[in-house]
Amino acid sequence: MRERREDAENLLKEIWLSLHENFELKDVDESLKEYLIKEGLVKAGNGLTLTEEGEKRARKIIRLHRLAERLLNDILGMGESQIEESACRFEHIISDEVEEAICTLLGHPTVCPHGSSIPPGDCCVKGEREVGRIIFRLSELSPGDEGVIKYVVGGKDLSDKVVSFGLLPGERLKVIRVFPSFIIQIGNTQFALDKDLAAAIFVLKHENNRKNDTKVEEKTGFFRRRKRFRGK
Amino acid sequence: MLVGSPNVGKSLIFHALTGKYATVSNYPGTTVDITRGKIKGADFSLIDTPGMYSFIAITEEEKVARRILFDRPDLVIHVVDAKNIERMLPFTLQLIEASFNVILVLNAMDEAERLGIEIDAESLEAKLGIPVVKTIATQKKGIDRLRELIKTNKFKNPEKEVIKLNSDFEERIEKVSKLIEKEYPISKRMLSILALAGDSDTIEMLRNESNFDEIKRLLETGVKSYEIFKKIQDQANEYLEGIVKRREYERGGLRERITELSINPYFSFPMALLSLYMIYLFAGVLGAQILVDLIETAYEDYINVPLNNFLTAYVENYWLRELIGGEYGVVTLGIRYAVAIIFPIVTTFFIAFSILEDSGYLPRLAALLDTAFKKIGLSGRAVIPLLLGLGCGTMATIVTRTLETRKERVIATLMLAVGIPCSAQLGVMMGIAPDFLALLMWISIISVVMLAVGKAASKTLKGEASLFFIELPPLRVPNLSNVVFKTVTRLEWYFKEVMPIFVLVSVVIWIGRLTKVFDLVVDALAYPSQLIGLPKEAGLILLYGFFRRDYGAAGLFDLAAKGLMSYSQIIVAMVTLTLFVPCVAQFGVMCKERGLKTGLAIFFIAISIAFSVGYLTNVLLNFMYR
Repeated sequence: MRERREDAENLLKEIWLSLHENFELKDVDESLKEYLIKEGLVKAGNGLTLTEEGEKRARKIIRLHRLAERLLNDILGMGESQIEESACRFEHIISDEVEEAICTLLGHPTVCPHGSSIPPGDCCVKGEREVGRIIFRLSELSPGDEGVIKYVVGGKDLSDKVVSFGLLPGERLKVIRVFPSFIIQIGNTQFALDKDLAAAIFVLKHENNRKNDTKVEEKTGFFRRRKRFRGK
Repeated sequence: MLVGSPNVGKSLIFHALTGKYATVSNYPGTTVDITRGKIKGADFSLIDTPGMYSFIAITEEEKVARRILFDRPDLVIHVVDAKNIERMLPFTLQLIEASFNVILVLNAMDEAERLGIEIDAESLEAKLGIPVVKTIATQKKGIDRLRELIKTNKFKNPEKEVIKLNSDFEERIEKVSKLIEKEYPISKRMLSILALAGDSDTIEMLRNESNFDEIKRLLETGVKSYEIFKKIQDQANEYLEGIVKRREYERGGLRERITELSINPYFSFPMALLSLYMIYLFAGVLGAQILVDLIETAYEDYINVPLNNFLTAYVENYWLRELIGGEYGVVTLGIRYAVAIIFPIVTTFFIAFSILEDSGYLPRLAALLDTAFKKIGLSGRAVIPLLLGLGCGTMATIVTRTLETRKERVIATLMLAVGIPCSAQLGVMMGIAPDFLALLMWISIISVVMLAVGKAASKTLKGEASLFFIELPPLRVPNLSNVVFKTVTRLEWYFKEVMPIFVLVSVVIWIGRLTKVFDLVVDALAYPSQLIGLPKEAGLILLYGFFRRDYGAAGLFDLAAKGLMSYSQIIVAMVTLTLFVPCVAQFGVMCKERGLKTGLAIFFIAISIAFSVGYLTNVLLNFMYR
């Protein structure tokens, strides 16, 4: 079932490439094609075209693939061959949250390492107005900063550990101290952690801690930050 | 069996239910061994386990807890910190999902209420389908209800599904669990969830499955392990919706102010020094000087003198007389050292340590020192065994188990063996130091040696220092009965260990003297002792020192009191004896915990360091005072 979904997504991607970027479509699996048509993503006719929904889905897959390429290339410094393989897996499993996080981390890139353009996402539209980053390593924050854990970068050992401590993506935290150790507060408990651990935890920083209406809050947050950055 | 995150009050609940005392402290990770006891008023035995956050076991303690859990106890009591229920409920869900018979205990309700948190336990009971009890273990509130629930729920065996993930995950979970054929201590469904989350221990468990290859293929999903745990966390939050209510509460009380100060970098350093000074005042001055004086004088006057008079009058045989009395007899030396010198020092140290521990200050100290400890290959967590080592090195060596990596455990063991003086030694050193300057020299030499040893060890040993992460419990006013109980428990342990050894050492010395073997060893040790400028008698002390580090220290005390040593000789002796091989008990534990090879290696390292530093100190002092 899962493989089928991936295969279908891959075909969708190829159709999109054939329409937008001179990709030559060949050896199309009939059952997959039927499946996509049944799902209302693809229209058959003079060649294959995409429905509105199909176009949206395909753009998303392409976007994820290219963002993944950028991430693997720029941040993790992986080689060409590894990138392609990993990116092909990434595009199927990245959640919306992670997508935004990666895109913001990379500073809303517009082209992939091979020079093809990356279809912009919601965060890029918003992000065009931002200058500063919103994703920080926990180790870069200052006392009083608040935010939400977004993801953890590091080996399996490290991420297992972080998870078992309950530092899950989605947890809100507040930085209390950064010296001599990092002290953070989650819920009603304070934790101390060292710099290495803090550097592995990426946090979406908030400017204030009003609980509801985070969207609005984030916007005012960006606005303020921009002023501050301009000042520097 | 009791399970739960570190520092939620498992041991306190254990005590309330059984009347037995497991080590309780306001410090995460103090239950190293499992403790068993009978529940009062019910014929069940209860097991207390080291803290575990979830099924995924990382540290040694968590592995121990997981192993016991997988022995399928009749009942699992999951103790959570009520104010942090959101973070802890996911493990409850996992326990239920794994088909354990679970009771959920919401402990420390008083602290939660102070923070304005209300929990509707009845609704939670209904939602989860398991009993939920609110308790305040420090005040023994809610314990009776828990006891009743244990009685009525002992043999239930619920098969419930409380974790529902999205269809994508569910599909995979079902596929994996269908492939599992053998029986395991936890449900196949939970096993599959853990395996999908990438838990290597679980995957290892499944290795003997005939379908293992296929299972393994299914597991290669590329999903980060936290995705599943995050889903479980989300679900826990859903369960708690409407059940946990938060009110605004007044901030800025005195307690919070002090709590804040304790992590303020400008105040925390002086605070740390102050707490060490408190230990010194208590154990070093009150214990080692005032109380030792008092008790020892009394012991000499009322026991030694009459006993020796009695022996000379009625016992003809010299060697028999010497076994009991005389200078090295069981009563005059062995029991005297234990009762008159060691007892007051160790007691006062443990009282001070227990107060510090109960207040919740130790994790803060760990956080404070982490950066510095990193330089010698340790993490802040090592502050506990090292500080405890100032009390008793043997006990502390056992506690090094709470450290995460082997490298850390070895370095901490080495530090304890080489440099950290135990309370008895510490007290005696304070007592014999001719003046403050001597004490200062002693402290600086030992510190420099320790730093050098730590640095060298962290360079030589392979592996990395573990990442430092510790929960900072709220500061509490130490509870008097807690402190008393803890001190008594530790003393009990110490005396069970120490008394027989002291008596035994006296007997061994007696045999040694009787057979002249001892003279040979003393002669052998006399050579290096003289080389470092100590009187011949010091060889004897070093030998005693091995049988019990504090025993040797006490011998040094005697020697100094008799005025047999010069100023610089005392300093050299202090340094050498502190650095010298740990006592026989600590050596035994070292070999047991770290393996014979490492134990022996540390043994020889300690001897060589002791004599070479002793030698250098002697040369240096001779140069200074000539």
